[in-house]
Amino acid sequence: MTKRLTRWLAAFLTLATLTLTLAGCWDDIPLDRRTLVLGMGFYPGPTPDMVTVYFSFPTPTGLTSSNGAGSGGGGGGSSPQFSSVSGTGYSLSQAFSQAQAKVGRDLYLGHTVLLVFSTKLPAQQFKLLDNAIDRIGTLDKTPFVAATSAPWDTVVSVKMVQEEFPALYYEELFSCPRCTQFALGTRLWQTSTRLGKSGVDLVLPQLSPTPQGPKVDQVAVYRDYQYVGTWDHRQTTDYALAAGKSRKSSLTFPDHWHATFDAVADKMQLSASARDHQVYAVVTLHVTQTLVTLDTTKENAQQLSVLSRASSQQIADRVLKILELSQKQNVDVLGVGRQLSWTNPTEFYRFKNWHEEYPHVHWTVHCIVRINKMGDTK
Amino acid sequence: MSSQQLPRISAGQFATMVTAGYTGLGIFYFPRDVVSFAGRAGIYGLWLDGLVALGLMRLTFRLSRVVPSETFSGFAPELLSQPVGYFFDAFMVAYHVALAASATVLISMVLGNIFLPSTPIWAIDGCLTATSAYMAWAGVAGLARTLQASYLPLLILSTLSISLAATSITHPELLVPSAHVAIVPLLEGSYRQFMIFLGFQASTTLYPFIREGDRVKAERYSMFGLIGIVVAMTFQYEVIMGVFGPEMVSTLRWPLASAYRIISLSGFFISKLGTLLIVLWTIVVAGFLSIRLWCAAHDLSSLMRKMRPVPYGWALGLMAAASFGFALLFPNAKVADLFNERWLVPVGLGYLVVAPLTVLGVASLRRQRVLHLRTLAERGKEYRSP
Repeated sequence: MTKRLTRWLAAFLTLATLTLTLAGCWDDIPLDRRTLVLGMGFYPGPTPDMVTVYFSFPTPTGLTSSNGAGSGGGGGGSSPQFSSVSGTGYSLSQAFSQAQAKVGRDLYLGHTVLLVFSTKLPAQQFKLLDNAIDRIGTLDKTPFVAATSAPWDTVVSVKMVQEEFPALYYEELFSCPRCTQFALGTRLWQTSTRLGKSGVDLVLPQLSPTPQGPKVDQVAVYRDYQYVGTWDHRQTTDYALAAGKSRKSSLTFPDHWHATFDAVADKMQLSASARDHQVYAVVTLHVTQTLVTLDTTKENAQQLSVLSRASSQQIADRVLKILELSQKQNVDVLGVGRQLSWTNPTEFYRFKNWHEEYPHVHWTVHCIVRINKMGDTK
Repeated sequence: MSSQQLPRISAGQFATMVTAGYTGLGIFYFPRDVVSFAGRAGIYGLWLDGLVALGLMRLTFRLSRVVPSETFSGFAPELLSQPVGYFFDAFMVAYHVALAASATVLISMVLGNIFLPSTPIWAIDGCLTATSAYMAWAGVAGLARTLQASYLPLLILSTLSISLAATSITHPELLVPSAHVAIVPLLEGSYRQFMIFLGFQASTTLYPFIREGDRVKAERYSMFGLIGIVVAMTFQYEVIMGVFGPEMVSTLRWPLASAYRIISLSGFFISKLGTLLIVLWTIVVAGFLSIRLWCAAHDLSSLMRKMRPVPYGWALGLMAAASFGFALLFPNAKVADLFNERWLVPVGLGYLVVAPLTVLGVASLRRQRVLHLRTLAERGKEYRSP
């Protein structure tokens, strides 16, 4: 009887322990006591060694509205759909604590979908933030990362064409590379594969809020953690072609029967080699494009051959031009150094500082064009 | 109790338990160690580890075959002299507890850091230890059935989920191992990564529980299991390498966790599959811990047999408490990792070489003694099993 009682007691104690500990009471915070942060903005603080972090989240009204979205009513109106709080400090955690003190609910980062870095952020701050973000347990590696030169209020209160939270709008935009002109979406883990790594530099889509609505047609380029500059729309198109990120670009040839191509999409292969301390990079582009207009009613084989050569030449020229610009700015946007370190580590590690070598890389651009003829689509 | 009355496990159950007994410790940092040292050639380090583990596993099975109906802890004092035998027994008990504590700390830190930031680490430690002790409570047959039931879904789920991460491979050229191999860094990385295969010495305690006539099959299945683990690890390595590249893998705290945390499925009812990791790793570690506790309790019973017999339940509770207490001494995962690297790997490797060679050497010199022990074990005179 005693033995049986002991067994029952042991089983009861085990079950009780498991029940109490498995319940996870410590981390159980009901949803109505949580503020679900959707977007975070990182800006320079009042002094060079401080950072200001903005946390944007939907308000209860925004969460419970019928379409689940607001239309840019962040600041004004009787019932704003979303709101932001900010915190300033010498570190991310200090800024977070200050922001947390301003709201009565738990600022929860597990649903964050967008991280925006100001182009004015000093490199040292960017580096510290990158390290700190990696250590936020609740934040996984999937949020999209972007740069902006606009203030946070403008970014989050931009007038939306579609009824949506700004952060969710950008998430949808970046999630569907085939829906946009360029596949510029960069997730946090993809950013981490470039930041602070020798032989490759960071390129982020730049958010430009305009009175007409949000615009993402430029990229911000970085050398290590240092913002170097923003490439305009034309340069961004060329970069997208060079990096194999073009999805819906267009090309025109006024001198060749006024031909126009759209849906210019490409894939890029990069190879790098080194001989006699000279690095050679070969960029091979596989481009597909659709012929949409031609001043003759029907294309013929000779026209297609000419157009194929012309578009191949134009794309190669544009790609070469943007790569030379990247050399002038000393930003390895394609990751030639990284490629070399993978295929020929001995040669790569002979270079003490890759950024001293990158401006001297010798380029070869191959462009293989496949034309979808008008007859194929009509 | 005669050996015919022992709880028995099938060849498949034995192979599952042996496999579950060594995959729990090294999964957390895999493949960071080999990649940090050997770069893109890191995969050779894993394969080297697999080959070494296969050789040592064969050697361990040869040890068990000396007295197949008795555990190593049971026959060691009789064959190797009492001081040496009890030393091996005590070492095994301590080593199982150390492995269990280290694995507990490593997973608790992952869970605490990523998923349960407000939960005290001791609560996660305690919960895992209690779950494992509960799994081991029913003895070898119950534990074998539990592991068999959980490992197949675990393998399917792991393969499917890591395949989702494979869709993010952006550098397919990294899937081909590098031709540039630096031998010394490769060996260093391989040595550190051997942690994945630590723990299959549980087979020396499990061996007599295999059904008569199934032992050869059980050994074969265990080796197939080891090859399967190497293949699965190779797949995981390739995905992680193809997604992140060698530079980033070297800087990731938990590369496999990172691989899961990049999966984002739009439209699926769980959009972020990172949380799936909590299920998979908990199953793996709970299986690992339960085998450690079962082995430690069993070896403790053997050790104490002549002084003061300890019932299995008490021994299990004692070992669980020891493992929990030891785990609490680790302030963080880094210390546990250093402990593994500086103590568990060299000591475990040394044991896996020294113990079988000692036993096989002595057995070849004391053939009559071996025959006597086999007869005793068959009659069950020296044996008391949980």
